Amino acid sequence: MVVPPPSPRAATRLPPRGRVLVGVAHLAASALVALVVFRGLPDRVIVVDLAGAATSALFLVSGGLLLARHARAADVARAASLVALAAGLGALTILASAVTALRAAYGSLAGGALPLVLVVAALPFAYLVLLPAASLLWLGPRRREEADPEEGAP
Amino acid sequence: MSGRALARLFAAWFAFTALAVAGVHLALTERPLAASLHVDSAWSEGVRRARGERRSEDPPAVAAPAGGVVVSETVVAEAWLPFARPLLAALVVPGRDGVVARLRGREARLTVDDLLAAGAYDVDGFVDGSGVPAGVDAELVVGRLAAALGTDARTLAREGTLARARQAPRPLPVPDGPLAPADARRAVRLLARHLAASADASGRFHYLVDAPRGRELGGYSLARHAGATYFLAQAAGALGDPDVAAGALRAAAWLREEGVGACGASRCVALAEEDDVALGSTALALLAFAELRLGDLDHGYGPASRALARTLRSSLRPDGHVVPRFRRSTGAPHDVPTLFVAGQVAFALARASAAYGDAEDLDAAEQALGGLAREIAARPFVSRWIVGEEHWTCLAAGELARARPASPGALAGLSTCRHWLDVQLRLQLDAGDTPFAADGAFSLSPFVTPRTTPAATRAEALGAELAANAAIPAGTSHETPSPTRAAALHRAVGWLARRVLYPEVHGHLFADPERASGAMPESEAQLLLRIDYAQHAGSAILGWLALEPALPGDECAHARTDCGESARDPWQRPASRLRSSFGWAPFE
Repeated sequence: MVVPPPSPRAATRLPPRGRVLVGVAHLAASALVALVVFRGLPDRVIVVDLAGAATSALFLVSGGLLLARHARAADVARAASLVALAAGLGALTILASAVTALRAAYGSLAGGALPLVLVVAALPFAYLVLLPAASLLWLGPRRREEADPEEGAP
Repeated sequence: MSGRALARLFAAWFAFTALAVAGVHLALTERPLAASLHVDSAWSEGVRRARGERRSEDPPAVAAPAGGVVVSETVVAEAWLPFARPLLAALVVPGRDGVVARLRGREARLTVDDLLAAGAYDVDGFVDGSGVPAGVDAELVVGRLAAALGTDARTLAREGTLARARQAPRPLPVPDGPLAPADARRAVRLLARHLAASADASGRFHYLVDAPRGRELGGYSLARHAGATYFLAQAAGALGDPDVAAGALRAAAWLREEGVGACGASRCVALAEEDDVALGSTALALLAFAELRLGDLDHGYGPASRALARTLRSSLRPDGHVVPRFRRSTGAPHDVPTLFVAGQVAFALARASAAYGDAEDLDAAEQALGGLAREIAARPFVSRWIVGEEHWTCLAAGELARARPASPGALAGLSTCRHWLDVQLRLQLDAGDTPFAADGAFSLSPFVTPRTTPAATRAEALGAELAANAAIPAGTSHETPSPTRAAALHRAVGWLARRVLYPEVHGHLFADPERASGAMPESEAQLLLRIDYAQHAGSAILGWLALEPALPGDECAHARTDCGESARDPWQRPASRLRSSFGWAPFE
């Protein structure tokens, strides 16, 4: 496959360093989300499946565009990161609520349940919270002239 | 996104999550009732015939039916319960919570006893397909409550409410705290009599029984038949109970007639249709026959025992590896990893040597145990962090240490056993670790009702380790177990003794109380009875009773000084001496 030379416009949109690293991380996260949601979870829940599929697909496209230095790479990476962050924070809210519910019925659960909960929380936290948050920081604020270079021109 | 914007996003999320958690906590935390509610139920033949409720300590609100009893349960707290299936299934704590439904001013209630009798607890409740039995059967609960209110489940869910009703623990004949020997003896006697009675006239056991319905379920395991026969022989020797002895003899006779067959030129124990035969059944049959001889119950099993011992010895390679399976069609050994078999072979051969005095069996037992210990040690990472099931290894080490206290095989087996128990004891629960009465039980999860077999097999192993330690001569180089081991064993057998289905406590739940009373269920919330549940629990409690006079007191549970010395060799007392030292009379 012949990769077209980077366009000057794409180069200005993306930060100068870390493009390959973030691209590879998005591809890895795409595979991980798909694996966990569609292979790891024991039950099918439509909301979880849709969120997992959307996150995985966005990460896949974002990773590919970042590696290809596509002109829209930054926009797609930003969208993928926001969707993943929403899914990750939502998952952590649900997890915290579930632990609270179980604690209401089962009591303090001593120390035995805490490592279990932390392990369960740590998995999505890494690739659905830390990675998208780091990606958003890396991409930086979305400046108006980046969104539309023509807008506001004299 | 700027760092500031991201920080604002996280702050908003944190605030939202804190509100969500607070809301869930307020909605689902149970609130004590102003006055406890006593729910009186009239039961006969495992069916609830009538129900009444009262708020005071007045006499029961219903009368006992003919041939039945009135049982009172006490509700102490309630909490809102959602209809959403996964939440409903997960939030009802098995054996602790009932459920009450309210619709248009009317109320229907399922108590803990109702749910136990319905087999509604410990279903695949938390997550479909997870394979973890927990929680409650949500469809059954809503369906029954709706029927009791004269409506359907959909109407109840739309217009009614549910509440989780926490009940006071059921009083048990074995009090909380350290198990007393008298309570342990009663528990063993009940278990043994139950198991003996479950062997029919031919000697075949009722293998797996749904106790509330009195219905036998399918399946049969010759290994478990042999194990149950072994425990009956042990108990008959210790109790001097003729019913138990008769049960042991019936079961052994059936095993010899129906189980022992040809495996090539040798004899093994297998179902007629089995081709790929695991040698565990053969080992446990030998163990049972040897125990009949050791308990002076029957001396006629010598020829069968020697034939089975020959088969087991022939499965040994020169390096001590036990080839665990045998293909009848080809007459060839089949060397695939098979759980338990090497430990069972070593234990059975050592015990057979004690019964029949054949040194060749003891040599083979030592060789097998040494080989097993070497194989486990040769996988350093796996053996250090991932352990299998080694209770049979512990039993073999205990028996071999009794016969050859300082032999390399005994010491190697004991070391393997010790490491395994070190890991297992991390999983022993304390009171308060879970909402279940679980002090002394073993479980991987605080959400799942502790099962009886893990506690029983680990207690058997602890007893064997302590006995082996007592048998090893002073000055022999080996690690001594922690003094907390005796307390761990005491707690485990105490928990087991409380799980026995006592007729005066649980009898009303069963269609056939005679058949279920004295049994050991799968868990306190799942009243399935399989013969090995009673076998392992009974053997474990017998092991503790044999050791108990020589063990340090429970003050050693958390102390690490001055508690390590046990008196010598309580394990090898013959049954008659055990009986007299326990101070209970036969037929008690």
